[in-house]
Amino acid sequence: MTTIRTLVVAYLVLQFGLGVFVYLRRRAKGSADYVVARGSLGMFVLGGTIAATQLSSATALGDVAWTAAYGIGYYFLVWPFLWLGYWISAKWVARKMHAFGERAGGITIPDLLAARYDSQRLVRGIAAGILLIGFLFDFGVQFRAAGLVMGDLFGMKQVLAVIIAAVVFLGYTYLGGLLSIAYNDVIQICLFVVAYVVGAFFAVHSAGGVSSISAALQKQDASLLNLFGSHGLGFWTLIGLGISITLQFISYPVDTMKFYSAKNRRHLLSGIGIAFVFQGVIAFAVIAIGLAGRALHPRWTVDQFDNLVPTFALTSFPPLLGGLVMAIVIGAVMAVSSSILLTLGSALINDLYIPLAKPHMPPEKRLGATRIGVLIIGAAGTLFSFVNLGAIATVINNVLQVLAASFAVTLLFGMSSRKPNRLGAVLSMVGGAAGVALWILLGSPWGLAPSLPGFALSILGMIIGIRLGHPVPEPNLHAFFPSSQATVNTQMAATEGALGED
Amino acid sequence: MSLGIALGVTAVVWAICIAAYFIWAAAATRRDIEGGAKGSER
Repeated sequence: MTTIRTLVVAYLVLQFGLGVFVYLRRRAKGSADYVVARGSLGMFVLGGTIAATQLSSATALGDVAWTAAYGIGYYFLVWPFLWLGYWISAKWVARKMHAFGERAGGITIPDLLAARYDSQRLVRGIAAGILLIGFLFDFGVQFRAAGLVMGDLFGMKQVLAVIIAAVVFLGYTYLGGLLSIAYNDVIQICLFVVAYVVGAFFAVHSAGGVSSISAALQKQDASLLNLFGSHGLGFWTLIGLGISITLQFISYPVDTMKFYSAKNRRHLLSGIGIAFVFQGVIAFAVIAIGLAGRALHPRWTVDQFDNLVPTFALTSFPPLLGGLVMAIVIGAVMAVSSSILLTLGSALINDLYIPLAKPHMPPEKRLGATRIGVLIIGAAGTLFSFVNLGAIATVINNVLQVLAASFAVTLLFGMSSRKPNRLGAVLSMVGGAAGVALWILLGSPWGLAPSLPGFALSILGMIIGIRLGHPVPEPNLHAFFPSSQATVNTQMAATEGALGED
Repeated sequence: MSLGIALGVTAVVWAICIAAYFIWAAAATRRDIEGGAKGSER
């Protein structure tokens, strides 16, 4: 246990130290540098940070539990839908977003939507508001998860564990901004791969090897090895789940923000592919650990399987590996939470406070204001983590579905067609969020994922808006649908004026 | 289906998905560069 605790402490010190290192070596020159580190991330770092932000504690613990409970089909079928979501984003959103960032100085998603829909206050305000409300819940429960794991591991009170975790990741985010987050994420994802791949070998070995696991699962329930669904989760349920996941990752805001940071478009598209490789390797290890756990614990429920990884780490793995796995579980929470913190801090200051209260704030003061925004969000999230908002996986899933239904249509349609307009964007975002919330309140009838009716309402809102609203002015559209390079340069200058300077 | 076969099929299908993405990304990057060059000529 001492080795495990030492490794976890060493990992937390490493993360904080990296934030201090980035602060001392490459201090941010402005809020854009701090929030998106424009043009700084090569494909490997970009891929690492995208994967680390997507692979939260939900993967490290929850997906292992689902694979153990429902079999290999859950991952085999659903994981490619995740990549489909990223591919749609890469094809229609990422490159235009990157170009917009380079030419017009955009640093947030509301920046992009405000310019595309010619609405510096309404569309920007609604987008920022949905991000803030949705992610604050996510942030609170992720943080709560870190507190629970650390509290159990060190035998300390949850309040103290949460405060220690907060000091570490709030510290490295406050000091180094996106660059610090990205470097920490790369270390996290590399250690995640090593810990889970080696952990999978030990888990399979402790269950008697591949043949023994296979025989045990055939005896328990042969459908656990069916690639197209099991008795617990059938084919069509998995397809519905997969579509919902595709929608979530077309516009996963904390990953989408990082498209601004790529060195160039080659690094941007390749970086997304490198994220797939990290995700694929870890997912494969998750399957092996989950099925080995199922062979060893045939009577466990899905809730009990949530403890499968910590159980392996503390009882079956060598101390060094066990410590690494526990550090990774806590690090997974920190990776997501730090990206959320920066996204929300910049949304609070750059999309709400400055446009609404201080539109003439000089550029040199915006960096300090953004850092204060990060601190405010960090404090709010820490307080939120002390409130029991419900099961961790359920809250995270609900938040992701609200965000998916709010932003997928507005971003995807807005970047791929000239027709979507301001009214359409407003109705689409509000309709999507309201549709998901309503479906959750109704108890998700017919087992349908809430993002699906939310997405349908979001599309309906966009269509109504296009019919009833006014077209977006040409200068705004030219920024995203150039007829020639010369036009782009001219019209981007017009958009720059609308965005203000930073 | 045995676990070995299930894992093998998963690895192959996922590898094809990722390879297909990289092929698309390379083609899209090439088109972007060519498009940019033509735009500059104008």
